[in-house]
Amino acid sequence: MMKKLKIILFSLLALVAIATAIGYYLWNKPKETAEDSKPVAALSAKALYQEFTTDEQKANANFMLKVIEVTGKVTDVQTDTAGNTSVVLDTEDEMQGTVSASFIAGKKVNVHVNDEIKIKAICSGYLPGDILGGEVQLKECALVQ
Amino acid sequence: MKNLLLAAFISASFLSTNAQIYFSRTGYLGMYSKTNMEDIKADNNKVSYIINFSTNQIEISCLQTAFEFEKALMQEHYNENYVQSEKYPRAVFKGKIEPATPIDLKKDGTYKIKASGNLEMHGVTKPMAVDGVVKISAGKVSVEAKFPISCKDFNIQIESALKDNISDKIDVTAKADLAELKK
Repeated sequence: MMKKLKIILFSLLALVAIATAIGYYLWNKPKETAEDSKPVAALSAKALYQEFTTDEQKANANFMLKVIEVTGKVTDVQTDTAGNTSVVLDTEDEMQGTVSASFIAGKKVNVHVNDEIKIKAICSGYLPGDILGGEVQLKECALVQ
Repeated sequence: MKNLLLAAFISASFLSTNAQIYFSRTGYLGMYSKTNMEDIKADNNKVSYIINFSTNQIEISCLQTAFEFEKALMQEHYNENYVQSEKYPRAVFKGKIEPATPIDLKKDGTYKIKASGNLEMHGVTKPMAVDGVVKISAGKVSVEAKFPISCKDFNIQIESALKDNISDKIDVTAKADLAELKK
């Protein structure tokens, strides 16, 4: 009887320990970065922009918060309010729509206007704009080439 | 083509002649929840700001998925459980600013403003009025405001187990350095 009770007690303790460890891991799990993830799709900035402007719901389902590989020509290099670098990629859109990619925070990036680049990034989605033109936003960006 | 014409029409109504339009695509929105149990902070540095100082129209928009939290799990909960980013990807404020005194963009100064309009988020549109300032310093124009929003107002449900960790009142900070839009 005593032996049975001990087994139950130890099993319960082991379960609590496992649950705590899982909880601790989930709470502290690192954020996904594009750098060490496999992209779900590889496409040009132009094609990506068209995907969002043609069928945003479908594009959200396919790309939102997923790692993708994007190629394109740099039309602008910007610094955001936190001092991080982002680049604007050409989409050849007639309403000045762009793909804007923010690099991993604090990372120095050697990219210039007119460079043709290939990046891996997490897609945030599409922000329409009547005045400024629409913008597909990419974050946690890493330069592939 | 129809969309193109519509966009051109909307742009034309915003861009009246000699419009003084200032904008940013790298503006900031911050959220802060404070409870006895936990402080939670999120930052978005990819916020779009447009102010037409000729008509006093203002528009601020951002993607919910662009908010960065300290913990990956918080970010996941925010996007999946609270604001449902795939279904409601954006938060948009559209309205008008009322300056306390007329804003002279060529003169350095701090001008108090009230921005009144509608905030659309999580499928809910709610009228809001917030106080802020427009600062002009050495020809550079910036805008800043702090205001609270309530999760309940936007139908954002916080499960009872986390009520002690997440405040219903979220303090929002908005700020952006603006550049003149040259057409």
